Amino acid sequence: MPLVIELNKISQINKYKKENLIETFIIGIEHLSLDSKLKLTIEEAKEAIELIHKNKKKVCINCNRVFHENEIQQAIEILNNININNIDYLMFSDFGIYQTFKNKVEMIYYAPTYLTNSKDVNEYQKIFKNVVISNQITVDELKNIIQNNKNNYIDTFGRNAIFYSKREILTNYFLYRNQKYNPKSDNYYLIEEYRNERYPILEDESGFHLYEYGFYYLLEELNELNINENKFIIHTNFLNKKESEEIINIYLSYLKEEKTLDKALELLFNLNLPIYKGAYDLKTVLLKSEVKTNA
Amino acid sequence: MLKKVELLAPAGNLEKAKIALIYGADAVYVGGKQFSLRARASNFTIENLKELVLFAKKLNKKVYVTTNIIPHDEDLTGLEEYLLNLEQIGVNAIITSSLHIISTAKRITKNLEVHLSTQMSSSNSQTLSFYQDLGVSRVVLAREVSLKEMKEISQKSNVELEVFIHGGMCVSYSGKCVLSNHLSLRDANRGGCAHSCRWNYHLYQGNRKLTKKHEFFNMGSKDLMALRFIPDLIDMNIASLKIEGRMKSSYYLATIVRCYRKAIDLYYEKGNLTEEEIEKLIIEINKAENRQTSFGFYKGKTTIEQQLFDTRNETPTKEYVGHIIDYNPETKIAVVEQRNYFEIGDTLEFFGPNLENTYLKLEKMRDKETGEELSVARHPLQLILIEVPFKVSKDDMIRLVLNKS
Repeated sequence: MPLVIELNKISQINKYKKENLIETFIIGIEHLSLDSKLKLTIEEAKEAIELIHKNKKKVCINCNRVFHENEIQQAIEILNNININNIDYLMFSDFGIYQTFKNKVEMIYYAPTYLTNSKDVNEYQKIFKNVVISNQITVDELKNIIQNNKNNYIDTFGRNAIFYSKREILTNYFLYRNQKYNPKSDNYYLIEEYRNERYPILEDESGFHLYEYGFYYLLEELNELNINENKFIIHTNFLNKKESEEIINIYLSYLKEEKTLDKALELLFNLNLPIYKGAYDLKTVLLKSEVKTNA
Repeated sequence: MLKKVELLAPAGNLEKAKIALIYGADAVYVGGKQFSLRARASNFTIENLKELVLFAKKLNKKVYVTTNIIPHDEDLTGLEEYLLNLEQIGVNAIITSSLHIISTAKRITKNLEVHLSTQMSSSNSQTLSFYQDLGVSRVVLAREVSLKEMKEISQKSNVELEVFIHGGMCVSYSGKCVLSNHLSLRDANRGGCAHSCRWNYHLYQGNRKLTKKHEFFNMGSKDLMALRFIPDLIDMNIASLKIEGRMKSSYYLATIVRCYRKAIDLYYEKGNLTEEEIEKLIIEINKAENRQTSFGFYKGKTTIEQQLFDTRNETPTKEYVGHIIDYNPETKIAVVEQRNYFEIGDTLEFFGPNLENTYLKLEKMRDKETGEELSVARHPLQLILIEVPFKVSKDDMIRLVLNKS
């Protein structure tokens, strides 16, 4: 059962209850989760957890923020209120969260920029058991890591934050320009002066976040990624309900062999979303002189 | 008795490292040819490191080597040999962000300390206890940690704390930014950062462009200058005060290190720093600082005052004109290596680790090679003979006093 789905709507818990390929639902919680489209209050989270378990699925709480000294106490209180004993996994990136809850719940280390090589993945697995391999490496590097490590989590679809600042850069911009700012809007984008790609912005209590311009995906590569040994995460941030379910359905139908690869790819690209390989197809260099340009 | 706080300076090459130590740093951190961020710095061969360690040890000072990239598989070749070499030549510590490098160093070396890089953005005391369990002896805190938070963390942690006090600041949490990767293909976490956060952007809401013509959305931040907070940092028993800038010049390092050295020593001597002393040191710092500065996150949440808008403010300083190669106290002739244009009639300011700022109006100078009298010193690295009536020493530096209209 390799799929881990980040919930986009509560209704999806019932919608997918009979899908055996979906093992775990990730739920976002207010004040704890970056990225999650769905961020629940404590009471909503308790209800969601109960429903997920009733449907014989597992629950993973997304707690992937950076926490400062005064913030981590709030996080601990929230998780204790939800009742940490009642969840299956806690997804974290801050080791303060790990230190606090390590003996109470199974943890999944999620830090997209860090787990970039086989040896670090191996070391972290010794401590945390569950890690999500970086999505900022090439597919070949990913394959190499998987050959050397088992039972990995792999980011399979989503839109990654490529910049995470504690500064309220968007708020400060509007203040400086003396312009009106709608903090509830999720429709702000940046375009670099000499480029065309649109990079979405989200700003909240945790800071300013800039996202990659498209949704990365892995599909044709799945057969080479040891489907039976690893787990595959589908993130649904920046998607509406319909879009998220279409994507989940594409992966389900492909993995159940109800659709061919070509058909699945066709459906994916017909969604009218900016879909690309992301960093999985991005061979980075160190020096400007090493960057090849298309003349 | 509590250990005295360490002043830690960066160095991109051997000359800069020696200057930083001479000018008052207690330790320097440098990058080797492998495993280090700042691919564009000259970086150190093992032979360079050997020479630096010998130099530092004579002064009873320390050398740390950064192994702080977030490595891909291809980057880890030769790690064990490299770490053993570092230990063998006497490097005091590595600064790293990779768990694999931490565990390898702890496994195969006995005397090499492991410091955790700011790349891991450590910002709470529970995180520090995680690393302490792994054998890390010092943690470089995230630059986003406020002074108040530093105090709370220091009270709850047994591991040494190192904090940034001066220099460039990442706008994103360190280690969590791949903006440069996506915009320029240059890997921010392996030494190739293109500083894309300082570029110009247009802001849109949906399809509506909000930035006006000639106005951009900027993310860049002012550099950090935390001189005022030195007393607080010493009082809360921070182990090390870190200056950023492995790409910076010797002149910059000499000026900045000297000022912070003075601040630290004055505080230990008197128990306080007056506003006058602080202002004087800030004026001195600004002679080498070519970017706008602020206090970063020291006072908590940042505002527009800590950000840069509408401007690329890096103006090259032209004040640094030379440094002393040699001085004969009997003839009072100094051999000066030219670093920028200066001429007869200029007022020169001499300074050094043991020399307070002293002024000289230049009336005569000769080319050392030809003996010819000069009216201008125009050639880089030209050796000039100048009569200096007060004692100067090798590695003292010279500024041009600019007339401000």
